[in-house]
Amino acid sequence: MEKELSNYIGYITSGSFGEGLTFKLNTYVNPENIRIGDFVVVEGKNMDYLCVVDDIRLKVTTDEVFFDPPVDEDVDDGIEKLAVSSFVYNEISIFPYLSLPKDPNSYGTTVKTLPTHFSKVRSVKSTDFRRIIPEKNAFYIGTPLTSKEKLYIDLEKLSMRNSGLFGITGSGKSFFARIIFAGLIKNKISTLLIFDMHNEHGRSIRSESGKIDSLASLFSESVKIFDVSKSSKDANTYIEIAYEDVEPEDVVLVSDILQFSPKSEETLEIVSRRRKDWLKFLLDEYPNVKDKKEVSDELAVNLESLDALSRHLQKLKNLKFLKETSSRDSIKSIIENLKNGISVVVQFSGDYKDDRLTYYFVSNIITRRIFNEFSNLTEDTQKNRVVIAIEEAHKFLSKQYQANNVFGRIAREMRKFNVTLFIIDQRPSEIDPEVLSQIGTRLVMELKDENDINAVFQGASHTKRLVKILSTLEQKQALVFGYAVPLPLPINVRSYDEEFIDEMKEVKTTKSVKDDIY
Amino acid sequence: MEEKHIAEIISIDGLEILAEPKEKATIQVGTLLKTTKINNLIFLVLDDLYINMIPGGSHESYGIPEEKLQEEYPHVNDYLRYLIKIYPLAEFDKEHYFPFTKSPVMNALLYEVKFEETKKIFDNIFVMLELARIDSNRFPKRNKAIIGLLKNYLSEFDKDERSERLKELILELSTAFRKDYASLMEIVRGVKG
Ligand SMILES: Nc1ncnc2c1ncn2[C@@H]1O[C@H](COP(=O)(O)OP(=O)(O)O)[C@@H](O)[C@H]1O
Ligand SMILES: [Mg+2]
Repeated sequence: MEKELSNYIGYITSGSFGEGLTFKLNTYVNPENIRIGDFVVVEGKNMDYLCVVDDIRLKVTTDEVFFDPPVDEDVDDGIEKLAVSSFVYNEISIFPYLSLPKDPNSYGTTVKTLPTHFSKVRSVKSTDFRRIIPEKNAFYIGTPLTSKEKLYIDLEKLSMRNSGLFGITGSGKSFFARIIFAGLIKNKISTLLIFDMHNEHGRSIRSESGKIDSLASLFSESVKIFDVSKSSKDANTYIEIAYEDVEPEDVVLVSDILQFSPKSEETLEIVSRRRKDWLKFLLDEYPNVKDKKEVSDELAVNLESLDALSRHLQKLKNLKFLKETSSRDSIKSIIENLKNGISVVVQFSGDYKDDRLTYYFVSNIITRRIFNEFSNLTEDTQKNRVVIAIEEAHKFLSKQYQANNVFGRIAREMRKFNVTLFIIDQRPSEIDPEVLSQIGTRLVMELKDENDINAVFQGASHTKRLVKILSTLEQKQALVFGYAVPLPLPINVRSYDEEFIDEMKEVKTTKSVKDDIY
Repeated sequence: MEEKHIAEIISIDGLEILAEPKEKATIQVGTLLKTTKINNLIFLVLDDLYINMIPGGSHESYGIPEEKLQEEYPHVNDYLRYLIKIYPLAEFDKEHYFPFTKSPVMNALLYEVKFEETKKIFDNIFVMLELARIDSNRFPKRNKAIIGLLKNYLSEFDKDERSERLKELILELSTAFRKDYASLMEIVRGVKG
């Protein structure tokens, strides 16, 4: 009898659509074994309900307990505590996110009914989770917070809209992102362009257990590495950027790093309007000009401002990949790869490692070319779905820049050209709310700042209850919600380890025949 | 050999049932007694008291506790009657114990309940519910009686078994007394102490 019952942990005592359901926890279940974000199933008459734990309340049936509480266990071996067991009980608030029809072969649907009083509540089985997302689209991303069943995401849906992966440094964003990237590539769902700020998604990556394979090693046929530094041994191609690829907006984006003076931006705008070769002029020519006054008068700009602008821009001379003219068009090559279904990892090695100036500058230039190229395609000619992944996304998508920035435009418009963004960021509050509300699927890891926490829920439903779950997350845990999952999933992100790598390398023979048609 | 009775029912007024112990023997509150002839009932002793048989007589005037009276003023034996108040707890049909249905009868003889039988009685969870149902306003010594009953019962077990049994009893008490926290704690503390 014990065994039979142990699956059941309580029964429903009240509920409403707005507030969710409440159940009384059976006396023998220790409330310390239940945590916010756990899954439970309510067995209704016509329907089961997949629910997430919102809150746990300790209750007493009478205040008398407080005036004369039982003594501690170590005093009387728990006798008095045992005696009050009928006066105390635990109430758990849960919210039903998905109805599971009684037919075990059908998938979950939105909740339109509520279970009756005294419906039994049980812990979740792995078969319940398999009914969240149709099997052919389901990609295993992790397990529930306190158990080991597999949880899945719909990568097809994820790639159809913008996604955001948020969390403080060290929370596990890069590792989680790589798991998602691998799934997208392996299942041929979309082609990726990854601006790999910290060189983590190319050939290999250092993990807790030593060096392990990254994307280009997992999928050597379908992932190419482009690097701005010739010192990189991993790169398939080195990136060169010609002056003509650079627009004033690329410079303005990094104006803080270039330490622009207040007038610089305005001066830049005037110079670039007057001279098509503005970059060559400001970088190479102007410093050697004899009569600077004459030149500034000619351009109708203030001499000191022009001096300062040219001086500030000299930092760009350190970028060896930036050439007056380029012998080969490496950006074009990136675009061709993407069009052919080959994912590209843009790396920043050698002198450019962790260099923000290079990262923002290069990512912006490459992405604008892609934007221009792809927006000329019709929906029919652009077959490959492309997902562009950027770190430090708030830089591009801040209130200040996003309206005119290419990433901002992609976030708002590119769905129709089959290009979406995968935004990775530790400061989501600095991203323009307008962009945030365009994010379809959100993968949120540990966040501490209240503004950041509020930001990730921009335009989302169930905010109040999800905030509670989010506040309990630790490293390698995430709350996944939005378009790609029919209910919010608090998860332990699966390990990116040898097992995962073997799984990704494994060739699915039956599927590849079908995939080749594409 | 026929067992000897130790008391006899001498008054029944609803649930106010009085019995007279044989030869004024003291019977402690919390003792179990049983009838075996016309019906098989198990009783709990809820109180003991002295009745003054002289109309209007008042032995309180001596100003000393009732127990001391006989020592100091032996003549009170002639008109003081020592009685016990008993309460029906269960009925027995040769196989099962169950909540009592039959009324006790006058002059029924009451016998001691041995430990072996007490154990069987306590195997029935309804016993705790019956105990909790006794109106403590009418029977102010109810809790004391329950403490006595449980302590006697537990004292028959050896140490390990006793603590096991104690925990089981406490859980049953907790359910039975879920509307009366104060009594529960009084009883639990009395029993464990
Ligand atoms: N899913 C995972 N599998 C294995 N190790 C992980 C995982 N997530 C995080 N880690 C470990 O935690 C460290 C920090 O994770 P990382 O993804 O680099 O954090 P972030 O990008 O948020 O700063 C990693 O170096 C790795 O050792
Ligand atoms: Mg990282």
